[in-house]
Amino acid sequence: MNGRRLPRLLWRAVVAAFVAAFYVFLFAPLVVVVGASFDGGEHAFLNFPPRHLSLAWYLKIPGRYFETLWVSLQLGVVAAACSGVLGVMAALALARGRLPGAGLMAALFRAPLQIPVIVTGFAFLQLFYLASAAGGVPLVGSFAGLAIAHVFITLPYVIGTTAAILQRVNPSLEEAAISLGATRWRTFRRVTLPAILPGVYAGALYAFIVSFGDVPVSMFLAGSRYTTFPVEMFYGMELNFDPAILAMSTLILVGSFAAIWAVQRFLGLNTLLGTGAGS
Amino acid sequence: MSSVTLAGVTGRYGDFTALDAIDLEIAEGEFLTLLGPSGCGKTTTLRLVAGFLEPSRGRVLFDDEDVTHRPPNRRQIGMVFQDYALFPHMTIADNVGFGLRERGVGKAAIRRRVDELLDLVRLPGVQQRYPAQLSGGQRQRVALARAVAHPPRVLLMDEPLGALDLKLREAMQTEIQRIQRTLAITTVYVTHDQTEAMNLSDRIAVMNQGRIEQLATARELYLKPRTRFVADFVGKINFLPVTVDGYAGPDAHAVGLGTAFRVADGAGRPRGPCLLAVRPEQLRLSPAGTPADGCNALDGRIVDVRYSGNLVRCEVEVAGGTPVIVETGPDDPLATAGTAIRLAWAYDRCTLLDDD
Repeated sequence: MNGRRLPRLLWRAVVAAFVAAFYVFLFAPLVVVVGASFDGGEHAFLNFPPRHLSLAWYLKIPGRYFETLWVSLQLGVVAAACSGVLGVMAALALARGRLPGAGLMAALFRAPLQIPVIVTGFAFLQLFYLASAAGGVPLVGSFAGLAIAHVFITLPYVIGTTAAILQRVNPSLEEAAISLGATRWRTFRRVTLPAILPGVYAGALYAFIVSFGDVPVSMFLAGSRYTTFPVEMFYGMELNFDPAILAMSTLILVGSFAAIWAVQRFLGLNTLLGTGAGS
Repeated sequence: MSSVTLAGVTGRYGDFTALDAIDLEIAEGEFLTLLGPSGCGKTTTLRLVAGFLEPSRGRVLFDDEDVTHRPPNRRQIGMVFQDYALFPHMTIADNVGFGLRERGVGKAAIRRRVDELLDLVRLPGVQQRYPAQLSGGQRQRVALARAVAHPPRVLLMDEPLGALDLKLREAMQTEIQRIQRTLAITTVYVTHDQTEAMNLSDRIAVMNQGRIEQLATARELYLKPRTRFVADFVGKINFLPVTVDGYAGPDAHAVGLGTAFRVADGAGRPRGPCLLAVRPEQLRLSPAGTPADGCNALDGRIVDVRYSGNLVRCEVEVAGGTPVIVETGPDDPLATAGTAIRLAWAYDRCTLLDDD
């Protein structure tokens, strides 16, 4: 019996070691950032492990970080919401409509993922210059300009997740609703939308994350009035690095984990799937 | 409840003609089944009645009302799908009440009606459950309750028992028939299962390649099939190649396989080659050399015997090597492989068909 158990234990140990190594690989950089943020030394270096435990740098986080964080949060929500609505419409048209050239359109909708973001940023900058020259619409350095570009880069995520789930929604569900007297809109509202909602939420969440983390596109389009948080951080690291950035990063990290926990807790994808089995 | 009329209806998917100028009248309260192999146009016909497909020619009438161009949500139909199509995110009560709610019925009235319908399909007390918590048979009952809730002018069922196993399918046939008769609701039922069609229907339309081959009661289809396709699709049947060579009153004389035959009511057949069709259970085994008095007879030899409990199925080789299937009682002493026998059948138990 021992002869058979031993290899299994060994095998388990190997798996455990691999998993542990994997987590170290994932979390070590975060641990360094968080740890170093609590170092109270006067020198603006990265000290890990921290030598003088202190919250000093947390008190020295410049106000512009919070201002740009607010911009980024707003931008993320707007981009996720717009991409959500447009993405659902596009996915429905592609999956359920009888459009000529639907395949070509699907490829076009995926294009933003295939263009290097730096090119996208530059292209939008040129476009916005042209637009302001032609119609005097100042889009560069404005919230609207950033939002438009962010919808562009986040839309494929919503279309992707929504189309994927839409393909698994039985078309006879919609026909059943129609046969029972529901209009197209009521069918969408009462049957299709609840069925694809998990995909829409997942896509919108991706959209928010992509928008919130974007540097290359925003860098081109941000101005003195509207800069996003990651762009501000990027310039901070480039021009005058100090541990306040680490402190701010730690706060963001805490916020992200809280958000993920809340999503799991209140919008858990299992309950969103909504068969209600076991609930 | 309404009668349903299809007048010269043609249905196309792109260039493919799925339905070719169909005429069909379904009486008020009738249970009509569209029977045929896959691709015969039966589902297309159902979708035309439902309004999910618009005919490229012809008209669809409910009673005397032309509904050809009316969208399905305004046709007052009830539909049952093979995969049930229950809304997974809604309770059973919300599923069954869906059509009522869309019609603006009040909450209390919906609740009463849902209770009543769940009693009708013998599933009381499942109101607050979700579809995923029910078995296949239970889901199909809910689907049926939902389809008849409003109540519809016509009930359409697309292979509703296709996903169930045999025992459950038989039980559900009885249920469907009971509910259909209780509500006296005009019903169009689609299936490829001839037993199901025969058990359930007032009339059956056998379809093939976008056309109705024969529209008749189960008995008539079985005993008097009008085409080779119908004879072959509904039940088992033997075809013997013969040539009509004369008439005797209402009957026809034919020769084939070196034998002369007589077919009751065959006088309508023109002279020339055709098929003599006879069901396996209409053939009797008798010892070789038995005089054929007052019936058709054909000599042969049993080459294979299969016992299946309630009957024995023999394969008989007759002149020209044609195999003929005979079904006889399980205790028939002649049913042994190798026996030379004479097959006998009454003049009115066979029919002549075109060899198409």
